[in-house]
Amino acid sequence: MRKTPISPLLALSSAALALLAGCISIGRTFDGNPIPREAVESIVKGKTTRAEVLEILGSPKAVESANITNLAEEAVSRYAGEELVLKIDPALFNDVYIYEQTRTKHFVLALILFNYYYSEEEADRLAVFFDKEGKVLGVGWTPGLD
Amino acid sequence: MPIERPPLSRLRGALGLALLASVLAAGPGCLNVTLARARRGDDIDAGAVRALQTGRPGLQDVLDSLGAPLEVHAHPDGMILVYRYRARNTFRFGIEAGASVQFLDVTRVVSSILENLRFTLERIHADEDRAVILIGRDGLVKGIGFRDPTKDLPLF
Repeated sequence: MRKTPISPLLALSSAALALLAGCISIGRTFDGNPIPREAVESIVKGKTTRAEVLEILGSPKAVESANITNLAEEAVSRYAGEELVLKIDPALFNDVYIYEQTRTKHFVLALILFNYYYSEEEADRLAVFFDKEGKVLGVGWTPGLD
Repeated sequence: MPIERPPLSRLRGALGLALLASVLAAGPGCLNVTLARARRGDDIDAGAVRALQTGRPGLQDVLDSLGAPLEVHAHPDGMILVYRYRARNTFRFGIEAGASVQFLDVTRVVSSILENLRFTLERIHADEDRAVILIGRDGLVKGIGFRDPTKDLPLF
């Protein structure tokens, strides 16, 4: 009995199909509240107060303050003498409010022989610096999600 | 005298072998190549950093040029603003002999050995662009530190 020959094209297609079996995953993950551009533009350096920033943007994701203890420790660590008198001068900034919304994009291609992963994390980030009077000293805005 | 095989038959044989090899290697997932790319943070504008000059004002200029810093540290001499952008490229090649045991006619001893046989070659290149700006108590830029190695990060 004569065997039925397998078509080379069919064999090749089967092999290709077997190797291409797999899955693709695409996704975006957002973390944090959106920061409206108008709100950022409404902050005026030297005028807007801490309370107004809180009212406009709500609670920040993080607050960074000038830590007197750390500053003192840093100064002491540099000093090599026997006696040290520290005069605490008001820091350049009083505190910084940080607002952030991050977006993580991911793409996953998982095949039998080959996998490819890509992930990218970007963020809209706003840093508002306050002076010791509680007024805005500086505003840093990174619209990373644009 | 060697018998010359017809070309179609030779092609069919080669394809058959390729198919068999593919199934043996790929079917059980014993051979695998992985590429991974990860990026974190907002790209630091190298031109904007280079345009900053020490001794010139000041905090708002830096914020306008580079945006919101990732970290802010108070310092006896003023404050330090830190910007970071991280990149990581991974290449992985793995062979897992155990996965193909089910297709082979081997003894239990050989099968046990093969099941634990695994080879992985992994190369990871990770680095970060980093800009550190020191603002003095007088509000002037006192120092600028910058490196951007991620643009030369090897892919493999």
